[in-house]
Amino acid sequence: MTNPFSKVLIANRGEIAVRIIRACRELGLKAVAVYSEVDRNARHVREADEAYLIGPAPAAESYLKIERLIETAHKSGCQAVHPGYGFLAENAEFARLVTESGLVFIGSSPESIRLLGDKVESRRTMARAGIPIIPGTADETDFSDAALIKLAANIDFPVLVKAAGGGGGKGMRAVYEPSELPSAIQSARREAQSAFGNPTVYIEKLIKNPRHIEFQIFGDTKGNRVHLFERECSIQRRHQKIIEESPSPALTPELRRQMGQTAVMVAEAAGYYNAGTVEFLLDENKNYYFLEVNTRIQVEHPVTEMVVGVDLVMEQMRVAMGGELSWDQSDLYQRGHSIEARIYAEDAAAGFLPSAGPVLHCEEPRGPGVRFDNGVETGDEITVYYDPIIAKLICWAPTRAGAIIRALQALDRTILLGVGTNIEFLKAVLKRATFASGDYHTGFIGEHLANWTPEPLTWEQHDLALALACLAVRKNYTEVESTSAAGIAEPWAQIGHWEICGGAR
Amino acid sequence: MIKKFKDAFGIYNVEHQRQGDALTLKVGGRNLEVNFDLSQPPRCILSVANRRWVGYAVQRNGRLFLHIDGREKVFAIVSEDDEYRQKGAAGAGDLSVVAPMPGTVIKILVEPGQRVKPNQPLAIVEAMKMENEVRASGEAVVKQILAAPGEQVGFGQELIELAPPTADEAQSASK
Repeated sequence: MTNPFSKVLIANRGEIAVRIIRACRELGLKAVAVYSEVDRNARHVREADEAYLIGPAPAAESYLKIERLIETAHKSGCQAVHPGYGFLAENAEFARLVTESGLVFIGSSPESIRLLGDKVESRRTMARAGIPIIPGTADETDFSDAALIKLAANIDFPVLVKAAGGGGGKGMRAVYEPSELPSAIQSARREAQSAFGNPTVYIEKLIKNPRHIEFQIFGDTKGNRVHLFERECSIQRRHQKIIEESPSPALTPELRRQMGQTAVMVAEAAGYYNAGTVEFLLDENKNYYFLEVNTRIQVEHPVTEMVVGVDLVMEQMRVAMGGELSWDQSDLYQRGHSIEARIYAEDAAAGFLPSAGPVLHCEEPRGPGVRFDNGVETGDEITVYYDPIIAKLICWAPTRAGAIIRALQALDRTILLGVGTNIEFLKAVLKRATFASGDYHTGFIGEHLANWTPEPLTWEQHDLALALACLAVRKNYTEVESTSAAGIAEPWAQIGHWEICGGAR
Repeated sequence: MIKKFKDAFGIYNVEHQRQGDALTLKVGGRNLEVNFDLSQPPRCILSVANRRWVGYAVQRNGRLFLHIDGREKVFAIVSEDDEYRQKGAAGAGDLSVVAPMPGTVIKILVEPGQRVKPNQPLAIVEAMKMENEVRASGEAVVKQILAAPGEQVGFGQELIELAPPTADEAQSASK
């Protein structure tokens, strides 16, 4: 088939936009970035061939502005749009409007995205296709508070209230007592409305201590479909993944084969093509249940890329150009082990509150088996307007133990001065014996690191830091001018006056 | 020469002397001698005997952001002014209820005059599409509501003013 596009608009920002720009380059395609006012000089803007302003900082006025994105794509001579993840990536209306305006949408069909984006509808479809689903709302059509409360009464508590319109833990509430259900439904509805524009919520039985295991699927428009094995995503905080790995330590070859087959069946039931992810829960008895399909490239896609030896983003573009899948199922196998650690701008010791600030100095780790997908460089600013993900560290090694060690070493060499990050928290996870054993579930952080605080520096490290401090306060040393807005609290202002060292006072 | 740095654990008075590329430190009764190379700031190579470390240091808004031996460290630079301010500001226990992050106030769950228990949810603030409860730090009485639902609030902005319950009782008794 002839090449139907040579210039791609990337309707996203941050590390994923940078990642997609690279894939465009490698395929000889031109990449067009879009940006909000606060992202004027962001890394994705710098790395693109061209960049266009689409609006003010709030995402609703920029990265979520469908008409403006489509208009910009046409104006800049693009023939295709890549949505990345987040923002409009799973918005069926966006996919439809992009396609109707004559552009190629790099993703699945609007119909599949709509079907799978509606978690209630997709549960119904999968149940009919013989795919195991978690007990809960299935064929019901009444989603009023009263109907949900009635349904929940027929399931053993605890139950989950979940948003029909989305995932990522938004609009989701775990309810342990029937008396808590009405207020949980209310709160989940509000959050779902705000996050997905859809207040519909449904009920699902809460599976105790599950593992979250997902399968990468890929299809072309000719009806070929494969899976690219699993990613283990059970290390989550506030229902958001922070560490992913492949292969999953929980799967036997037989279970992996079964789940992989089920994942392809899910793709077939939904008529799905391009890259997608079938999420499963695995219970303590190793029963697996269909959870949902993410109809986009995932944050954690590099884990699969490293273990299977493929480029998923490039494949997305090839398939979107009408090409056939590059692989048959029999071409695909897992080799070695890969672990991803997501670096977030957040304070892990204070309930994972988002942090913001300038990146005063950035050093990316390098070395054999080390990949660092990064959205920022020295001099960039992390704002509170968008998802707090800054970068992803992905390490590969022949063995799982080797990948863990490699990731720890690389985190020691990951430097992001000026903005609070979760780097120390990630190290704490990787160092836990339970993590090393591979026998963990989604409750891991709550059970092992609920009251985590950073390990204190050793005396040697502390003294070296003070030596560095003495050298750095000199005038001719790097001083970055203050540009940040007022109102950023100085934590030191809240701390009592202590005298540790004695001496000069 | 003495420099003062502060972190969450306290203030460090560092007596130090520079001579060429050698730095002698005296802190908390410990002595340290390091050689340094800061020809490529913000990088600084520190050496003690036969060991080397590559550190990074950037100063901004009175704070030092450091990275050394795989760890990040932030110090506030203490000036004489700060010390004076600190001594003057020693006040009563803090009951203020502040936004834990920049975001939007979704709901205020209490009313002026209401008695609240420790850990009771007082308000819901949404940031990055997640709802976060702001809870009471101790037993108190709501004195004033300072933010309204829908309002955008900044990090550390006061949402609700609380008063100690005893003080409140004393107040109403005196009326």
